[in-house]
Order: sequence, then C-alpha cells, then structure tokens
Amino acid sequence: MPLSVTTPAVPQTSTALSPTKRFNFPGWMREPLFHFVVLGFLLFAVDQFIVGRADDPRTIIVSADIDNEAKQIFKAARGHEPNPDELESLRRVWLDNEVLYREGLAQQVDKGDSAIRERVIFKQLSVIDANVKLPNVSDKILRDWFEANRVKYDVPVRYDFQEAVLSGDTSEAAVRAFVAALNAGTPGDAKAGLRIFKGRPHSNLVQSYGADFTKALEASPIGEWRVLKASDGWHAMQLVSIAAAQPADYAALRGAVMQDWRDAMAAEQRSAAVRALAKKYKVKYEESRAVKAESAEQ
Amino acid sequence: MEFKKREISLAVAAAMGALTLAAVIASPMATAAKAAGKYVAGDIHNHTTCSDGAISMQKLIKKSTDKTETPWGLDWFVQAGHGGNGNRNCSLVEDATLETPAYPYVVGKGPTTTWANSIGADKLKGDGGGVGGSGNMWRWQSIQEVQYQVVEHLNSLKDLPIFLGLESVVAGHEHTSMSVIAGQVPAAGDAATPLNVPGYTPLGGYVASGNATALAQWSYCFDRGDTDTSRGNIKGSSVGNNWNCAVPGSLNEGDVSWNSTAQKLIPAGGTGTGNKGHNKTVEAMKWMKAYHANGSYYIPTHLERAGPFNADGNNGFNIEHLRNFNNAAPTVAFGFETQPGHGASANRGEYQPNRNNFGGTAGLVDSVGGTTYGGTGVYGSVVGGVWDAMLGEGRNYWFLASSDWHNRGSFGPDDRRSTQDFYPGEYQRNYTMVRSSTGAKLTPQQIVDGMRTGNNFVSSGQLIDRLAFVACASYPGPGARSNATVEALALAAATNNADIDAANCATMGEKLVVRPGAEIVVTIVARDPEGANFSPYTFPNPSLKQIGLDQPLNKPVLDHIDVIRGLVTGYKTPGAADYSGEWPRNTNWLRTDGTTADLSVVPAGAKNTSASIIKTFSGAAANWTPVATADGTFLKMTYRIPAVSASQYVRLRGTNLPAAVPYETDANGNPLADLYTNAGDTTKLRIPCTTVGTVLTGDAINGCPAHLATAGVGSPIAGQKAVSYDVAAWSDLWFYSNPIYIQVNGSTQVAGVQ
Repeated sequence: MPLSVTTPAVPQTSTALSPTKRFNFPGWMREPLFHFVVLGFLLFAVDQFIVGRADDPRTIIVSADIDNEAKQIFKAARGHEPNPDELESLRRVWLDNEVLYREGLAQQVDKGDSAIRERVIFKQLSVIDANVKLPNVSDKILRDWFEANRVKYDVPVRYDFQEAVLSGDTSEAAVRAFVAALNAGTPGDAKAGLRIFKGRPHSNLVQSYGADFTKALEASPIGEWRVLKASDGWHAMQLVSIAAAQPADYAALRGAVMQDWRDAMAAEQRSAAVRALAKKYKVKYEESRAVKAESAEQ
Repeated sequence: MEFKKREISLAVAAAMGALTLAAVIASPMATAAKAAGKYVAGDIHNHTTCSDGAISMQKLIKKSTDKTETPWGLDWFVQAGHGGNGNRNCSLVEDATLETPAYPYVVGKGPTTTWANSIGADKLKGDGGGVGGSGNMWRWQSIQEVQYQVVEHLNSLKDLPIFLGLESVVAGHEHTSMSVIAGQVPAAGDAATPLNVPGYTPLGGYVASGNATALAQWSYCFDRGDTDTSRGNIKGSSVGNNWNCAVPGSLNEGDVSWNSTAQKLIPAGGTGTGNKGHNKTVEAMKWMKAYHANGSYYIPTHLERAGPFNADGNNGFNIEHLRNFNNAAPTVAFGFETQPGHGASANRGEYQPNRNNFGGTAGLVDSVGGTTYGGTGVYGSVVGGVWDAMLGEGRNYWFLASSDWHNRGSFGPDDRRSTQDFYPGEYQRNYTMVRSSTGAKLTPQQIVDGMRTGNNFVSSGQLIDRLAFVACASYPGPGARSNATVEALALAAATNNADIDAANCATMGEKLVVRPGAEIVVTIVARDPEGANFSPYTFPNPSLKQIGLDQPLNKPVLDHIDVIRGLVTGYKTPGAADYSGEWPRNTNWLRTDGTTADLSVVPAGAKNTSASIIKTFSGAAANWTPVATADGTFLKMTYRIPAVSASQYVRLRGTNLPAAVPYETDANGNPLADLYTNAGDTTKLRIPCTTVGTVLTGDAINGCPAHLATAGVGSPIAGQKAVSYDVAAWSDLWFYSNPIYIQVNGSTQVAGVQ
C-alpha cells in the first residue's frame, strides 16, 4: 500500500506555532549535559526492560512443556497419568536436575570433558548441516565430477599373492634356502604357515610392505617363489595372479556417484561455513612437544 | 627405575617368599584329576552410581546378565566401582521396572539422589560424616552397609553368581580390579554371617546373610582414595569397626608412613609419591596373602593408560611393579587387564598420546604404547613384550579383560550405539573355566579359583565363543600320540564347553611336564559362532572393505589363529638390571605417523625376544578343518612342535582381520596402533565409512551412523566419515588365550604353576 500524507482534521491556529506562546523550559534543561543524562537513563530503562524479559540465571521456570514431557514419560513407564503428588515429585526431580545442571555450568564442570565437547561439536555441526543447500545438479555436472574423481571408482590392478612364513631363523640365508625348497615342491604351509592375500591393490602393498618390496613383488614371475626384503626383514613370497584394472562405468554407478557428489558438496559447504566462523577468532599456535624436542636436539 | 635399598630388600623378601611358596600355588597339575567345570563368561570391572557410573546397580546388573532383552547376558558378574567416596545413594533405582521387594522405586528419588537427601547426613560415618559434613559416604561404608546388600539381594533374586569387587584407586599407580570375597554370599549349608558391627543399622530393605566387611576393610586400609582416619567408625567415636591395617611381619607402626590415628599407612605426597605408594600397595598384597590368600584377587586394569610408573606421582605400572605384586602374593596378583574397557571411546580404552601430565621436565607423557593395538594395550599385544617377559619367567600371570562400563557417551543408557563404553558382556567376554562338581549356582570362591588357574580366554565381538587349547606329549614308540587322538580330546572338550582331563596333556594355565625330546602335539578347536553378534551394525566392515572383502560388521568371521611360543628362562632377581624396565615412552615407541619402534629399544627386563609366531592357521590356507556338530561348526587344527629340549609356553591369538589390512594390521598380522581409528585426533583418521543407510538407530543399523567422527584437515580422507568410536571396535576383533606351559625335565622349572 502506498504511503499517504493526510491533513489533520482539526484546523491549527497560528498561535500554536507562535514563539511567544511556547512553554519556557528552565535554562538547565537546555544544557547538553542534561540531555546526555536523560538519554542515558532512557537507554538504561530500555535495556533493563529487555533483559528483564530474557532468562534470569537465577530464575527457573517449570513450563507446561516440562510437565507434559514428565507426564508422557511417567505414563509410558507406569501405564497411567501421574496423580498430583506424583507430578509434583516428577517436577522436583526435573528441578533438582536443572539446579545441578546450572550449578555445574556455573562451576564449569563441563570444561575439559571431552564427551561434552564432542557432543557440543556434534550439535553445532548439525546446526551447520541444516543450513547446507546443495546446488542444482545436471548430468553433465555429475559426469564431470565423476571423471575428476574417477580414481575412486575405477577398479585398480589387483594382485593375488602368498607368503610362506618361517619362524625362528628368518635370516636371508634361511629364507633363501626355504624358497629354494618351495620352488622344488615343498608345500607353502610347511613351516609357520601360509598367508594368502587376494585382490590387494598396489596402495595396500605399499602401505604394508614398502615401495621397493612392492615393486619387486609386482615384477615377480607368476608362480615362482622369491626372496624379497621388506623393512622388517626377509620374506618368502609368490605372486599368484594379476587382475587388470577395470575402468568404472558411469551409467552403472550413477546412483552411487550422485550420493558421493552430494556428500562432497555438503562437506565443502560445511568446511566453508566452519572456516567463515573461524574468522571471528584469533588463533595462536603454541610450540608443540615434537617441535620443542627437535629444537632441543639441535 | 632405581630402587632405594629398602625397596630392594622388600622386593627381595617378596621374591624369596614367592619361590618358597611356589609349592602351594593353587594352579592345578596337568595330570591331576579335575572336577567338572564349564567355561563361563563374566566381568569384574564396571561402575554404577556407587562411584562414577551413569546407572544404578540394579540396572547395570539387569543389562549385564539378562540373556533375552540384552542378549549378551553374562554367566557371572562382579559389580565393582572406584574406591574413595561417593555422594549418590546407590541403592536407588531409575524406575519401577527395576524395583525389587527390598528396594522399591521411590518416585522423585532416583539414583542421582544424594545420601544426604535420602538416608540423611547423620548416617554418614567416618571423617567428614554426620550432619554438616561433606555429604559423601566413604566407600568402605557403602560397600559394607549398602552395596553388598543390594548385590546379595540380586544374587538371590536372579539366582545368578553375582558378588562385589572394587576398582581400587591404587597407591603409587592408577587403578586395579580387585576383590576380597571372604564373607560374601554364603553357599547353601554355610553358616550365615550377617553384618554385626556396633553402630550398624540397615540402610536398605534387605538384611544380608553374608557380608563384605573384608572388602570394606581392604578399601579403608589400602585404597589411595580413602583418606579417612576413623578406622571405620562413626565420626569422632570408637563405635564401629575399629580396623587396624597392620600386616603380619611388616614394619607397620615402625614405618614412617604409619598414621596411628588411622591405624594405616598414609604416605606423604610430593617427591617420591609413586615409590611410597607402591610400597604401600605391596603391603596390601601381603595383607591379602596373609588373610585371604585364596579369597582375593588383584588385577591391574587399563594399566598402560596412565603412562609408565612415575616415582613422584600416581601413574602407571612398569614390569617391575607387576613382578613385585606377583612375588608378594602369587595367588592374589595373578594377572592384568591389558585389554582395557572403554572400547567405544574416542580414544580406544582411553589410551592416547600426551595423556598424562608428569609435571616438571617430564611434561606430557603418552599412555604406554601411545594407544591400544587392536583394542589391547602394548604390554599384551606386542609379541615378545611385557606379557611374554612375565611368561618367560614361568609366572602365573594371566590375560583378563573387562568392560569398565560407565556410560554410553553421547547416547542414553538404552541406546545400542556408543561413543564411550560397552556393557559388560556386550563386546569383551572373559571366559573362565569354573569347576563345580554339584552343578549348583557358582560361588564367588569357585569363580575366583577359576580366574586364578589361568584357564581363561578373552574374546571381543563374539569372534569365538568356545575354545579347547590342548598340548599333549608324544614320545617315539608306545608313547606316540597321533593328531587324531588329541583332536578327539579337544573336540569333545569344546563341544561340551569343558576342558580336557588326560594324562600327559595340559590346557590353558597348566604346565605339561615332559622328558627332553618329547614332541608336543598342540591342538586347537574353536567355535566361530554362526549368525549375528551383539553389534547393532549390519553394514559391511569398513576396514575389510579396504581390501575388497564384504562382511557385515555384525557377522564377523575368524580369519586366522596365530600360535605364539616363547622360552621360559626363570624368575628375574629383584634388583638385577633385567628385573626392571620402562617401556619406551612417547615417540620413542609410537611415532607421530602411527608407526612404532621395535623390541630393540625395549629394555631387557620388559621383553622376551624368544617369543614368536610359530604357526598360523586360517581358512584361506585351508589348514584348519571345519567339523559340523549339533552344537555348530567347530574349527580343528593341530601343530606338532618337534623334539623339545627347553621349557617354553604356547599361547594363541586370533582375529577377523587378515594380515596387511591398511591401518589395522601389519604384514605379519600384528595389530597396528589404534591411532588411525581414534577420534581424539581426527587428522589421523584413515579408514572411510561410506555405506549410506536407511536405518540409523535401533539394533539393525544399515549405514554409517552420524556420530562417527569426520576426518580432519591433514587426513587423506578429510571431510569423510571415518571408522571411529564403536564402529572402530566392532571392525577390529581379537581373541587371546592364556598360555600352556611345557616344562622340560632338566631345563628351567616353570615355578609359577604347579
């Protein structure tokens, strides 16, 4: 609706504006200091009014919601509504707990408690999650994202291999002698046991045995026992088979890719939201123990 | 660590005592006739509102023993709780479903109600008691006058073997699971011994026929948290127990730490706190040996958590302290809980780097080993480490585990998810051979006797629930024993949930005495139970998914069993260089990238380098045989140790994880540090949990739950939900057996076991 200016119904007389008819305030009321004091008082009054309506830490309100919840819990456990005495007892329990909760917060017993910290983090993350809004997605966006993250979906080269384990003497000479016997027909389980590994990718081999060992194993002739050295010593290993890599089929995986894309977008937005919040804080890094130790050694 | 002269003399005396007493240690001879027995599952370490637990005794005992509503119900149960004091009336219950005739539900008086607001402050005894006092009840009083009564009442109502223990706050160290059972739960036919102490009036509705006065006295005398000086009396009077904590043959009032008012040792704090406290705890061992040699136990718990021993504080345990305890009271200090509870917490077992502030130049110190390894502390998980060092002496020192239940972390007590603890029996299960020829309800004495023998195995996530582990001697000629005969013995034992009883054969906790040259036939029969375990998660195990295996978390499959052997070389001499040794602390063991050092950096006293895996059995290698029986499928396997010439032991471990599972096991199948699944440092999380589910609460959760930690910046999987909390525990399951000793005539005597 457009705003309009209306003319007052009652005619104004010229005397209303006459300087000679104006109320004469005392001179001190025209002092800036007086205006400052009045303004300050008004601000204080408004503040008190507003704050007074907010929670007073020393006031506990047992609301109807709390009564209702107590009644529901009681009824679920006992099969009937609480009578007035029982309701009063339930209120008392709630009140005792609320007092303990407030006193605990006042005494900061939540500080240093990792369970409470985790819970608060979890709840705040939920608040942030609630504000995450995913962008619209088209098949092109999804396909592009799939191609950029193809390594997650392609089936890598996988290796089947086994280790014939020795116990006791695991020196190079002992392992070489054992490998010679294995290649001559001794069963792989002849000593401490046979460890069988199926479908392990390159990354798994590197993580468990190291890069050099992995390279040597991957280059081994299939079916031949070899002596290979890892960081923890010598091993009798046999490469059994190699399954070639298989590129992933976008069409077959579209549902899973969509879910992963959603998760990735949500994670990006969540991280961005946390980073934005972090800007409110001044972060100082104290020297860590490891750095201190290194400094001391130097 | 350097001992002062007096400490050495104490330790020497203790060791001498142990050697001369070796003949009376109550472990059974392998060839002696055995009473009938069964492996029964129990828990000795858990908390209620009597100390710092979240729920009442009634609720915890229901949750822990119910076999229908909470299907993990245990066969026996020891309710424990910390020493010291507490302000909540732990006889009160949460709701009417938990009320009993003697302890009805009182509206408005739940288990968080204080003693002062329930029984009244005037009933509180000891220092700080009475109206106007601290409002706390000393644990000696709650054990003696309240907690025991509730426990005996529930024992009777539920007709289950339930009794009372304590998680002691240890002088000189951190914590220990212990009990003194004298007086508790008199068996049918035994004389009733109701509590009859001047000044005692029942504080609940049940008048017990037995009593826990001996445990209460121990708590008053030796728990570090008990600083009361009242002698167990009404405040400011001589009405009450008038306890005297003197130990026969000890200095007692001649000790500078003796407090004549309290009639107990109260060591001064400050410099030397750890050493003085340890000496007091050795006195506690002597007291238990003197008065309750077969009626008590003392099992250091989560003993790596608080770091190594701290001479000026109350922190962890080094191997010399375990030796001192075992020397002082071999029938009492017979094991440790190196597999801690708190299995679902952010830092598994609550072990973590930089956890402990030692003050001064020592600063922050890691839990020993930094983290757990597949849920077990470094003392028990490293082949050739502290446990093998103890076994290498031929000691009776056994592997035990408990839940350490306190609460569910972010969840309520009835939720199946957890970011803190598992209920007793839900995840770890401690199976103990308990013998009862009558078949009547087991008694506390029978259970403690069972624990003491070491005929015990521990399994997480129901990886296995039956085990027969047998070693028999075989000699050339008529004394030859085939694999088939030993396998028949073991299979019969496993299917009957019993053990073997055959000449020249032994099982866990026993020793097999053989002539040099004997071949040892080692047979294992285990049951990997069919169907689902107690995990609420039905989605694929994310750890195994890394290597292409699709196996539901709640349906784990035993991957392999390792047979570990070590040589026995005899007891170390107190004061000798190889008697003591601190495990390398901080990054000297666990590096910041999660890799570890090896035994070369471990002091000689804390390792047994002869220990190694001598055989691995697995389904993949097809070197075990499935045997179908009416009681499920059992896996049968045998290994023959050729002609033995030296005393040794064999023990087992097994897991659902193959070797070389990234961030879980190394190339040799050893558990890696749990750093990679501990949410305490999200930058180290490495295993993504990617299964999207539709059911995310209840007992059949089919996708990665929301409470999993998100990998932090710096992790290769940053931003993704990662294996952590309870999912980490359910992904990574292990079992450990106790050892079978093989004593070769003419070689080292296995002195700790008869």
